[in-house]
Amino acid sequence: MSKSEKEGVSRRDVLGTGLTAATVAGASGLAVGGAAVLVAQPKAAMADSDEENHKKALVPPGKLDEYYGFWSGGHSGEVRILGLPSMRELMRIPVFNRCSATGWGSTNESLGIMTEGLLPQSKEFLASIGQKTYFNGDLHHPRPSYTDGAYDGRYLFVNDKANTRLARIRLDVMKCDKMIQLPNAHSIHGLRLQRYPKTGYVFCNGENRAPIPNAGKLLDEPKKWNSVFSAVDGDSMQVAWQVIVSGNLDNNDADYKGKYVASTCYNAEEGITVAEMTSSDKDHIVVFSLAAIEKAIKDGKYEEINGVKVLDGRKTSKLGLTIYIPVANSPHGCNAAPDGKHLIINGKLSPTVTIFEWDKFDDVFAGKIKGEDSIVGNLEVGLGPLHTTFDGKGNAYTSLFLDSQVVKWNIGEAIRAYKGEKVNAIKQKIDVHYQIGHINATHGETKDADGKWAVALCKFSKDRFLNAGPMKPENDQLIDISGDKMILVHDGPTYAEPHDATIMHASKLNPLEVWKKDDPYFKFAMDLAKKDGVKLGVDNKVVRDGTKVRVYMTAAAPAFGLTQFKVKKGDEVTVVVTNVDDVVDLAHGFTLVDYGIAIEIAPQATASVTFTANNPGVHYYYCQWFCHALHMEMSGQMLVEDAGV
Amino acid sequence: MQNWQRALKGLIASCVLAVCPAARAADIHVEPGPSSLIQAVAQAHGGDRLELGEGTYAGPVVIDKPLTIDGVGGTVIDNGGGGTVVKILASGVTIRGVTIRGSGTKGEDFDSGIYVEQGSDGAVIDNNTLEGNLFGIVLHGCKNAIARNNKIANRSDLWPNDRGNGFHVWNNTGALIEGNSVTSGRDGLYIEISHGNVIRSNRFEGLRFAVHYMYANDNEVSDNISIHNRVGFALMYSNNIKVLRNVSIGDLQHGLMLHTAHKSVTAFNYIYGTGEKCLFIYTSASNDIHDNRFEQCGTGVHFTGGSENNKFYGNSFLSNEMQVKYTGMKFYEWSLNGRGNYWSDNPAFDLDGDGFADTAFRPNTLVDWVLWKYPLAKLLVSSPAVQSLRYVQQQLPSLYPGGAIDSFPLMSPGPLPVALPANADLTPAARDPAQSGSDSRPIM
Repeated sequence: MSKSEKEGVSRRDVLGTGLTAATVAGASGLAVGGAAVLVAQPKAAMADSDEENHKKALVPPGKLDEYYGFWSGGHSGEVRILGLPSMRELMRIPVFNRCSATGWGSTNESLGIMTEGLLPQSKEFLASIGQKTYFNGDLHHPRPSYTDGAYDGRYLFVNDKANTRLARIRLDVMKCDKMIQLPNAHSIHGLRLQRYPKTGYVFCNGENRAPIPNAGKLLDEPKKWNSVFSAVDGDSMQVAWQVIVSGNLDNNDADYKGKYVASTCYNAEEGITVAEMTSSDKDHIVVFSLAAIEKAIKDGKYEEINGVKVLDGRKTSKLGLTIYIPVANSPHGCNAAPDGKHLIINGKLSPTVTIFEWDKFDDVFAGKIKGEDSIVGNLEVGLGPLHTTFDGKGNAYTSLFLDSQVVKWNIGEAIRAYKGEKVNAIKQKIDVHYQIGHINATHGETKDADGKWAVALCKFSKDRFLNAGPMKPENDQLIDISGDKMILVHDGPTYAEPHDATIMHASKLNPLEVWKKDDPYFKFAMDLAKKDGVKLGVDNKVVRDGTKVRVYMTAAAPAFGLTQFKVKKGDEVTVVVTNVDDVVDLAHGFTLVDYGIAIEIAPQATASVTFTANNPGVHYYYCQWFCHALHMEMSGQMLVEDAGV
Repeated sequence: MQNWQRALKGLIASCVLAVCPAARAADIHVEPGPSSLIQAVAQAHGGDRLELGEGTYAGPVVIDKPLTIDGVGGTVIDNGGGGTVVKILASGVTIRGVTIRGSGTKGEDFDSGIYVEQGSDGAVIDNNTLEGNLFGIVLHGCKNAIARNNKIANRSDLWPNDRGNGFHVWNNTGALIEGNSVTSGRDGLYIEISHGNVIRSNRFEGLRFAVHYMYANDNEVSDNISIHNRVGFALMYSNNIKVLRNVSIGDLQHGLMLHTAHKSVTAFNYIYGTGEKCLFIYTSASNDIHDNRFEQCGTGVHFTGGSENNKFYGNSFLSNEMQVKYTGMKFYEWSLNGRGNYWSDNPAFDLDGDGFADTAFRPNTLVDWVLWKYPLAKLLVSSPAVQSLRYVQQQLPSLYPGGAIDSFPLMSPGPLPVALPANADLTPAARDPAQSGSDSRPIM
């Protein structure tokens, strides 16, 4: 403590700070000596306590949150919507998983989405094990679509690391509407979007190196395996092109001018074992020039592999599509700053962040400067820097996995320090619990970064919550970044396993309250009904076509339009249910007992399910989504005749 | 042995008799001259000893047979700033008494003073001076190397990320790294994926990490000295390490860090004057931590939740600003078999004169917490208010936020576990202002 600090403090100020402890004693009904003296201090002195801080995150009953948070569900395969700052979970969106509540993965609508973009090789494999689609996924990165560097509220794109897929969620209805599996790539990890002029491309990092094509050859020649960088058109969800790279691909990010995408690589060695992957002291980032790639495609410099135009962007390529810039071993996070100028590469094994200037890549591609010359800063931030987010005021917040801290630092000052100026760019460090991975701030990935909140997605909770057995929740912590100092305000337990979250102001979205009944989402049922001459949502009808039976019914609280229908054992039955209620929050369901079927039908939606009626007898169906005072009575029976009985 | 047939015969004979080929080897004196060393290496045979006379030899030198290179004094191998100076591609190579300088600066190529390639086992690197290189000695996937009494001063005119480590030890077993000093560059010794090695009696000064340790089991790290580095001994993601009698003086962030380090013994270390933390124990379980001295640091021990089954006894906590910072919700007993630790701030009595305080000591009480959150409250530490709070808390254990309890606190500090080096600057490191807001106390 400096002399001036000492002199500047009165005894009264100091006493006030003792209040938190004293309050505990006081609350226990004690009035012992000095403790009682402390209790008499002014209340304002408590403002800095944990309890008081926590109140910043409280949203009282009946009040709405200010932000939507889109949380990845990791290997649960789903997306969750949270409200911020309360961190209350608002909704789940099943994507790569199967869902017992909604029938995702068994309805015709969801199966259509989950199968239409599967690769032929996978379809064949799945059929051989009696599946139509995969039952699992590993969803790491939820990325909302952009127009001119800002969230435009159209879509959310998500990756599947487990089965090499990309999915799209419509933000007007918060449902997945497209899913594709990427050919030639193996395991999609890093995922970011074109920011300018709009999304545009969805950039998918194929993390693992594998043979291309990957169909049983080159198994013993790992040196000939490769990672692939894919650009998917976000509107058509078709692969626009792919680029083969050297090393692997970890995380990526795009600039704010629509010119470049950069990606980190943690295995430039192209090794197989941990030892081989870390044998070098350096890995690299690879930068892709969109203009050069689009020109090479136009000039026909590609090879078509599995129906996709594939370019060679390896270190040895002469096409000029990529540049490789060495950085310290095992870089991880790749984050474009909202200033539009800078790219932050997080060191992971190196306790540093490296700052690149996007514009300098022009000269690197032109051969005027070396790749390293595009570095404008290199700041030691602490141990295990993984990801960085931003407040839009020039500060960056980097997660430190090993230190289990978040460090706040100033980008401009880090750049000045790199030029040799004596300036300490590190502003503050706070502990998080425990071992943070991703960090993301409100609008931190857009030019609208507003510096209100950041979420620290911690990989371990250990002792932070009631012990729920050997498996513990993760801990997503909310940090107030609006002031000079970061303040930890909330612990949020989450189930397996949020990797990343993106946060959007509520004003950016205006989701529908009820579906439009002719939404293309219901195309399967609409086409079927048209063919059968049935008016969806009006007719309640059974249509038999040989051994195929279509059952159309409405759902209006508290009754299904059909309370009974009869089929024969062995028939292929399709049940199509339309919720004709247009009341907000009045969802119905259709659960068929002993058939393993349960589907969701939101207001004005139509959903369908197809099954073989091999289980004879009387089978009740009922509405599982509470709808009415007579909800229990909302049921009917499917009668399955067994000809042999 | 001038032709390959004789060489082959010799080799067979030596194998049959199981004697070292060096017994038949030649002693060759080499004088400085244009590529004289490179030619001498090319002409030598396995087992030969090259004695390098005083003067400067041009590198790079690639040693692809079991040779001994002996400098007579004043022997310099200089690369003039490109590539690796001495590259060892064979087992059984010895390099002794040579000054090696002038490697290139390409980190991706491991430009270094001495680089020992995978499969080149049993290298002996002894009494050399390595200066002005990017990396000093790189042991890259080899076995049973000995690096002893070398002095390493790497280039530090580059940005820290672009500098090289004094020792870069990757994928090694059986290495003995002893008696060396590293005084500039990036990390003193970086060791990764290397099990069963000994790192002993080395001195690291003015670096980023003295010892940067990642995923390396069954090693010994003993009698090393870290002076004024950013981090002293960072031992991470490893099991069964013996961390004994090391000294850290004035390191900036961590004197000694056990991060996801399990089943290890950390004893008789002396951590003095670290800016932030003498010892950081992070998710490290089943360790035996005893008879260490933690003195004059910002925090004596920062101990986090999830670090289970650690034995903690016989340690001396002297004059740390905060003795223990604990971020977790459980209680831990910090004594073993009736022997606790010494706490310089324990206002205890020992009326029965058995050497142990009469009451248990809780190093992180609410008072400590208040002091931690509000450093200015230190002025009141002996005030009746604070003493009352301590008293109240003693009567009502439920008021404790969790933490360490020492049931058998010692009344006097243990003897110095190891002497501080005489020729060292003993100034404690400055505190890092960025850490002042790192309050992580659970909500009560």
